[in-house]
Amino acid sequence: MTGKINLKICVGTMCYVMGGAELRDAAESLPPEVKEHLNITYSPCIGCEEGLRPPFIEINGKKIAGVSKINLIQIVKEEIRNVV
Amino acid sequence: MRYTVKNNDNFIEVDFFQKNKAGNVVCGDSFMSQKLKGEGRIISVLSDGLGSGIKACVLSTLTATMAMHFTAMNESIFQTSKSIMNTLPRDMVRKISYSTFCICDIDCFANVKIIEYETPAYYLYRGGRFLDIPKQKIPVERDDLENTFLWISEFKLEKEDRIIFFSDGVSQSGMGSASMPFGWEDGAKTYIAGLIEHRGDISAKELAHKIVSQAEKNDGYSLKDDTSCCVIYMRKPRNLLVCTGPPYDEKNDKYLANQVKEFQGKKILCGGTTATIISRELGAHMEVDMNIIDKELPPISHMKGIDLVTEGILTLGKVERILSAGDTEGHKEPGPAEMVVRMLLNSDKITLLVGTRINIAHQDPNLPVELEIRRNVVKKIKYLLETKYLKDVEIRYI
Repeated sequence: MTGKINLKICVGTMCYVMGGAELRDAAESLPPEVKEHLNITYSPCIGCEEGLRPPFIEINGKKIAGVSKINLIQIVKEEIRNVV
Repeated sequence: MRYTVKNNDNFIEVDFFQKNKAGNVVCGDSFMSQKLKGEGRIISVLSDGLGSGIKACVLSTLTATMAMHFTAMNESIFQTSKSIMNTLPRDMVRKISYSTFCICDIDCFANVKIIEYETPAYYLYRGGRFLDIPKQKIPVERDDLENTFLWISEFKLEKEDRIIFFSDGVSQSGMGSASMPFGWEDGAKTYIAGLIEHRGDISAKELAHKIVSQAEKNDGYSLKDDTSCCVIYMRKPRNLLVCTGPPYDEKNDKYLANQVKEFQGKKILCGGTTATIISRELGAHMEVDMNIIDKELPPISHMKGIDLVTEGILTLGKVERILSAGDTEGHKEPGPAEMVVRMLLNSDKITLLVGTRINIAHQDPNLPVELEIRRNVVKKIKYLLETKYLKDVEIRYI
């Protein structure tokens, strides 16, 4: 595997009140074997899109809506599987 | 207490801090400051009542109130002092009616008249040193006490001048100790000069606070007398720009970014979208700082050329709550909102640049929290800053 996976979490108003506040803790407490592949950053606003439900994250440039602390780990694991 | 007053494009900041004699619940010193709007005058009075506790408090409050009102009515100082002395009740033990006062009257042309009675001499700090202004000495006729004088000095206040006056709690602090057997006296001058030399822009509020704290330290953290200090500081107004919300028309993004870039003073951006626009237009990199944590609010970011970048409506809502509650000091771990409040209160002239595009997503009734409309919050903040904190505030919509 080359390089790390860029995980960007939005901390804008909408994402924050719709559950983004929990994503930070969830991302920081991912199991070490998952976390070592990640480069976690935060953004003041990724950009809302009509019809999609916040909170948003960006994983290797792909925007994903409706992320929760429960499905975050699945999204990350899937991306790792794709890339590796 | 703190307010700033505009005077020929200069700002005069008057602030004051006091601590009670150890063990006392009220202070025997009284300070009053008033701005006469029509005349552009600022009158500040400090009085120290005989003794301490309630008795001293009553004496000094009476004195300060009378001195303030008589001065505001342009009554002669002789009449003023006579009335005060005839009004004050006599002390049962010492058989005198006594309290000191210092009146500082600044007119709209920055001419200063200071009248002192039995108080430690005021300091005038200008251009790196303390100036001695010649004083007129006028004997006071009274039957219970001999050899007391009024000292009157007049001069013109210049930019970056500081006038410092205090009760004897400051000048006599530390009296009897090995290092300063006769009290702090001129050591205070050295201390003040040191502070100003170290930070040329130290505010009146901070300086007054530091002087009183040092006096307390001199007394071994147990003040022997009520201790008050007032600082008057004339300076250039401090400008602050708070930019929040995207412009109504996207074409104005560039204009907004330019306004922010060209602004002379400190700058705050409130809002993720706003910050993203500015970052894009100015080509300035932005980074979120997860070290400053407030459980209620999203984090702040850093951007080159901008003093503070925060989230928008939630942060402004909290700023409004803090300003409204008046709970603006003593935060051990300041969060984003406290940082905004601190910058607002450290400024004199505040421009609120408000983008009017409505974020439709914010008005969704399914949201777990209610999000206010930006314009309303900003209006409330303006009202609070103007009425409660006496700031000069302007809102510009874009």
